[in-house]
Amino acid sequence: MSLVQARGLTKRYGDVTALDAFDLTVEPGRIVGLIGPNGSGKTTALKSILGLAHLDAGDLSVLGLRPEKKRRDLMRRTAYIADTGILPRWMRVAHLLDFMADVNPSFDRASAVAALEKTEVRLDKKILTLSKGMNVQLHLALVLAIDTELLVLDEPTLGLDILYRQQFYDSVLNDYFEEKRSILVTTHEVREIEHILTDVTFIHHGRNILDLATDQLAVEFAKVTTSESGAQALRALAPLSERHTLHGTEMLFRGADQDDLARHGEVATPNLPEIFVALVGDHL
Amino acid sequence: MNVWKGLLTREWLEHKGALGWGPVITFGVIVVFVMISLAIAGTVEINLDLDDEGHRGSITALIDESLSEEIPTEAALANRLDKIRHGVAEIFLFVFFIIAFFTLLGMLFDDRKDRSVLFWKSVPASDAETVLSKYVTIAWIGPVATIAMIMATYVFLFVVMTFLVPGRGALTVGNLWSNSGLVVGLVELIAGFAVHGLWALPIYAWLLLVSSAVTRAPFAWAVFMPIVIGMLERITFGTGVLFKGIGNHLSLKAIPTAIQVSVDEAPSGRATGLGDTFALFATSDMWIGIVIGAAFLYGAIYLRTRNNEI
Repeated sequence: MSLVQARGLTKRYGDVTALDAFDLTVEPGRIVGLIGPNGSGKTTALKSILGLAHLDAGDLSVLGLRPEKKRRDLMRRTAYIADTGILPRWMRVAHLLDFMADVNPSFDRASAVAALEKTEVRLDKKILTLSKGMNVQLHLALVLAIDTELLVLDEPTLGLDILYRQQFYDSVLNDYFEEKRSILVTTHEVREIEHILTDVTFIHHGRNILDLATDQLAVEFAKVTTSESGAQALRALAPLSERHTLHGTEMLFRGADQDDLARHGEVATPNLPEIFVALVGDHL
Repeated sequence: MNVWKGLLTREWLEHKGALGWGPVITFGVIVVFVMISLAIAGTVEINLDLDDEGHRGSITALIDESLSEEIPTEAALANRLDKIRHGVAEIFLFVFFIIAFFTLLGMLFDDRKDRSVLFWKSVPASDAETVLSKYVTIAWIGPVATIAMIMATYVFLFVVMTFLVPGRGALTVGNLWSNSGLVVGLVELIAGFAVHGLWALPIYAWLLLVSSAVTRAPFAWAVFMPIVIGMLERITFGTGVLFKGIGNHLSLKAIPTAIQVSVDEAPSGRATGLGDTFALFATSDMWIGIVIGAAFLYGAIYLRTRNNEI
């Protein structure tokens, strides 16, 4: 069964349509990247999955529950980290651990303490005295100490030093990710997570632009670098986009025969930002 | 019930600076004031209200009577001591009210402002549990510290009087303590606050509703909205139901210590006033207040599910 099954999610804020019949599926054991520019509806999508936004239309099931109605039950099995700084600043670390242990039966305090021992975060510190990086380490320690099936990350590394960012995704991969668990992550730093994703969903103006498993990217998309004469021939094959660089003309193709392309230039697999820009070019 | 333990502990930890330290600091200020007053004037005026016989609830009055060799009757002595106790309690109740007012206004607002609402909503506690835990904190947990500090002040003042009053007239230490009313005072405070938590429900719930609803200026909304509606009522209907109701539920009439029970009303010599406290349950005001308060709480919970960070 899918952990997240969203069909036709629609959410309007006055005249602005944040989600426009948006679909999303997260299967167990997948790391799904939800990718789009600011204001594309990413955060609204995540919020509705967590039961924090009220949809105008659409069917949504998360871990078999309707998030809007059953947020409490859902949160026993789901964890959420937003961009830094949502932990209560006035609280001491030890008190936060006590709180978690009280409200969440599946929170393992000892394992959180053990995880924090590997960091600079001391139990008697107030959260407002922690650095941004330590804040994220603490939040991660809390989340990893809960037996959850779904981890939702909303720009989790925003404003972090490069050192912490790497560490963050390493911890998530090594300590959280396993067969039955899934991760849904949004970020504007696509390159940073490109290599860990199993699936991508591109979102723009609240609509799906692309839904694909990452191992299909190289099959589906191709980037050809060619000369001016090669470009002439390639234009007949309906490129998604065309760009002139120092090395010649760069063209992006979807679903084209790669042997055909190779006759006219050098074929490579485009990265996610390149695909996104090529696809969204049509939708601007 | 662990969820409730967690939620209430969390509220106490966040607000102990106001709900806990507020009364402790008040106690400290009173102690310092009494000591300075004793050092300079040799006496202390605790309550400036005159009673029926023109006596102030002050240690001065006690000493005067004592020096005049005229031993006050037990009832009269109890009345003087009640005045002193009530004067003390009023100071603390005023402080408590101010603290409760601002704490409630911030409880569903501040966490939206600093975005920690996103964390609180990521734990398995429902919005109803969250909002109710905040009401319970103000209604019945916060008052514990206030009651403790009122009692501490009583004891402090009776110790002071033990050194000051006897030996300067006919009043004895035994007289003083046997009429101290400390036990009655404690019972009054506990029962009074227990009932006041319900009596003030419409006020508390209104503040939580505003705290949950607005994106800015909760104080202005909480205060000016009722004033405007009350004035419209007066202009349109010529009545003052809203203002009267607000005044009624703002009053501390459930807490006997604050309503100045006089000995005249209690032939036994000491009025506990608890009869008046529990009699509130027989009034329609109590039940109308509970219904309106419950509606406000429902609104606060509903808006809590909808409103996130500001």
